[in-house]
Amino acid sequence: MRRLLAGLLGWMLLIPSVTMATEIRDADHVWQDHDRLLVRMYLDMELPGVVLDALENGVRVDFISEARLDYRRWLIGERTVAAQTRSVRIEYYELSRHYVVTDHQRQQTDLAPTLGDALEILARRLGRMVLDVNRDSLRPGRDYRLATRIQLDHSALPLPLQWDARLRSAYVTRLGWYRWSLD
Amino acid sequence: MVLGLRRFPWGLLGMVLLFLLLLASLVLMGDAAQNSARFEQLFLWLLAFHGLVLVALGIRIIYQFSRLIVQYRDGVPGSRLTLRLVAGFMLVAVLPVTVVYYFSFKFLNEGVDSWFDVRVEGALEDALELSRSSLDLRVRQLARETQDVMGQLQDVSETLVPLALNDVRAQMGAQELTLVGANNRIIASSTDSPIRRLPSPPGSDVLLRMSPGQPFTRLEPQADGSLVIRVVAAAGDRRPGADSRILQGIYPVDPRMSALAVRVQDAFVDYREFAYLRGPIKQGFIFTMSLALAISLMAALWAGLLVARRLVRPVTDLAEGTRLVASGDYSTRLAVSRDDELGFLVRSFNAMTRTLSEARQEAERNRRLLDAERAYLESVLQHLRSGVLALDGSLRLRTANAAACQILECDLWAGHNRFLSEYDGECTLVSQFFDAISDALTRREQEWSREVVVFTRTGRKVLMTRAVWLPNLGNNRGLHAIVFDDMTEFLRAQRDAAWGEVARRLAHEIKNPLTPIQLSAERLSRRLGKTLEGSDREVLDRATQTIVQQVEAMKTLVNAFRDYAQAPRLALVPLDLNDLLRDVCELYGGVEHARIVLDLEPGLPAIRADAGRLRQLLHNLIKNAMEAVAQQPSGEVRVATRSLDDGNGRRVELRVADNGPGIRPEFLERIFEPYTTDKPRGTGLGLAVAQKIVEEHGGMIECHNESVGGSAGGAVFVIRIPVDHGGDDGDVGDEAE
Repeated sequence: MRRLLAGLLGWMLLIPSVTMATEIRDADHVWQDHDRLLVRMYLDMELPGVVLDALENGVRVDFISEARLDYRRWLIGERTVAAQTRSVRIEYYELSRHYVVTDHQRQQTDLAPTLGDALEILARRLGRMVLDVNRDSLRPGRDYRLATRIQLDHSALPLPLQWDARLRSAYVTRLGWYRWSLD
Repeated sequence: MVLGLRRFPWGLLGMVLLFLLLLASLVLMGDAAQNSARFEQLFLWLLAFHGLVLVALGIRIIYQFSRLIVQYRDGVPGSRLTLRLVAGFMLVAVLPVTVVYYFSFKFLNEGVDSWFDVRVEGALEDALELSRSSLDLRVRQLARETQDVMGQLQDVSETLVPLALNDVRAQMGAQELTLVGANNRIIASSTDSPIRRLPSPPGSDVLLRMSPGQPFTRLEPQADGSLVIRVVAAAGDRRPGADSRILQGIYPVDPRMSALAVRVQDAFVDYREFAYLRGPIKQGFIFTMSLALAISLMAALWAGLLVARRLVRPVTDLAEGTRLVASGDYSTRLAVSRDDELGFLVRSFNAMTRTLSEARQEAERNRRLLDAERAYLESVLQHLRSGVLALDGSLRLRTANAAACQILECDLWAGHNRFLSEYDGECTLVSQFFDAISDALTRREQEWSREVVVFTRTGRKVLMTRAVWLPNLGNNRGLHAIVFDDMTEFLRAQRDAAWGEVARRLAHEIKNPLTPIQLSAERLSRRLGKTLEGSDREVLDRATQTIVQQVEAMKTLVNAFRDYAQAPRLALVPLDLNDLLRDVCELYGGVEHARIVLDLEPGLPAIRADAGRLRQLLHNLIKNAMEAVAQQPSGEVRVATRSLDDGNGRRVELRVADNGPGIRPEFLERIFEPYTTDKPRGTGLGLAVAQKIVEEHGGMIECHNESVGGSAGGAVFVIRIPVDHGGDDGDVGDEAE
């Protein structure tokens, strides 16, 4: 009871806790062909304790990676030329005692016997995105910038954890935009 | 219309609206907590809204409470009652809510925990383990078989391998069999479906985990929910120079078994996830409940404050109104803002103050009337020449007019409400007067009258007194109304008039026969004197001489009477009394046995007087004084003048005092009456004439003995004559004439 009350109090006071340890170490891009731009992020993927705890207790955890190409306009902000989103899920498969990493449509499934392997797969999956960009539509001299970020998909969490995720910084797993120039 | 809008309980309406809004938002929040999409859309907004409402309510309540406490400390009317009402409301709100909250809290904790059972969890784990065991059995079997097949295919040439692989796959019921060589090169592959995707060699992670003679096995879920078993086996004995081959087989799990195992796993995962989430579930419920509770309490407190203020406002207004009424402001009217009992109370208060105000105005009007009546009566009383006294039943003085004070020579107003008996020794006349009438007063005779004689320093006063007993006046203690008149002057005037008549008749009846008597006596003396001789002649001469002398004496007496009775015409002119006094007193400068001391005020105003009559008056007084001090070793007559203004107009006062034996008290009362004298040869008309002369000049004369060391001293005559105000000179006849 006392712990519950203390937790409730802390919860209501929005006490800051551990934040997401994942970081984008580096990122680059490669033109796959004339109309496709491959964006690569090199991630050091680690999960906060509360997320790990949830994962080990059967909770499916979804991550979203986003990438976009935009350019800055004078005084009126940025304009996005192309954007792509990717959702990847990680869960623990009890029958085979493996972590399963799947994409959103479960078209591609990878199994990993350890969390580290699973996170590697996760990082690899999240870190690869293809933007549909017509190379001819890009104007020379304009400063095109690429931006990527990773975040925990709160809405995919079970509702009780969504409360927690909304109210506690322990679940703040959104990284800021990582930007670099297209050139 | 505007009044109606003002009277509308906007605060209450706002409170109800806010409460409904909060209720709706709480319902929405509860709904959002059950629905992920709604939660995403609404939760934070609702939370922010509730937080803002809580903060706003909290600030509002803190402000109201602070103001209430300040008002309570300052003793503002109604603040104590408001505080008590709010405390009461709080108690009523907090107690049940706390009880409900406590039991809900307990129920949530215990209820959510009761959803989870160790036995169920154990059973699920056992079921999962059973599924694993079954699958493991199959996996081990397939691993052995695949390893055996790998041994068989080790030496088969690459051209025959596809055929052999097809046979083996069909025999083993595999979904796919792929034989790869060095560098993960696919040598041959066989699948159970031609539309299946192309075979893929084992991944690097698989190859890394392989060991010779120990096939790699893995149970893999499929996108359609089914299970497959992946077995990767390498040749057990690798000969030098031989191509190291790896066989990868993918075997489907029996659909029924697969479905059962997946269902068991899903149930286990769901249960464990649910168990894991019970903390957040409880926290979520408790948070929602606490939020609802906090908002309810805040709203209840706010409502309590509003309702208490609304309830107490008429009471506060009444208290303030009562205070104003107590301070004498009967014009206080309170606004009637409600139709309940409190409104009735306020209306009654207004009716009361209206009645009080009207009664006060009526009383004020009556008081003014009474004051006017009293002033009128007092004016009448003060201007009455008769003395008026009002005594209550206990003979305490209630009212006295100026004439009463003057007649009784006492400031009766200063002793208002005193007993008349208390004036003994202070005002002798009052004491004498009271002694004379106390018997009638004590008996409370209904109506009586009597003549009361009191004695003053200048003589006696005759007071004609009438009184009535009014038993119903004076706060029902009764009232003696006493009216009395100083009849002394009236009686004296009556006596003077009688004496004047006597003198006139005497002068007429006696003087006429005196001359024939005198002439007869003289003729008798002449005729008989020649015929008689010797002793007879002496007898005749003495007899006729005696007759002539007595006739002369009688003539003198009759002349004196004539002078007293006659009123000569006065020649009034402005006269300096000091000059006249010096002239008269010079005539007495040669007197040996007495001396005259003059004390004349310089600048004495002139009087209008007849110099001859006034000279006669002065002679009378000074001669009397000289005779009075004749037997004194150092006789002295003091003649003094002064001017005075004593409320009866400006007058000149002449004082003639001697140091003789004084006037005997029995004479003092009637000293100015004719034939009153203690001198053997006096006619008793000198002072009567003197008084007459003074009265002819509009003045007054009085006489008393000077008090020297407690015993009677010489006589003092005091004359007061009005000063000249510049009237016409001329002769003035006596009114009597």
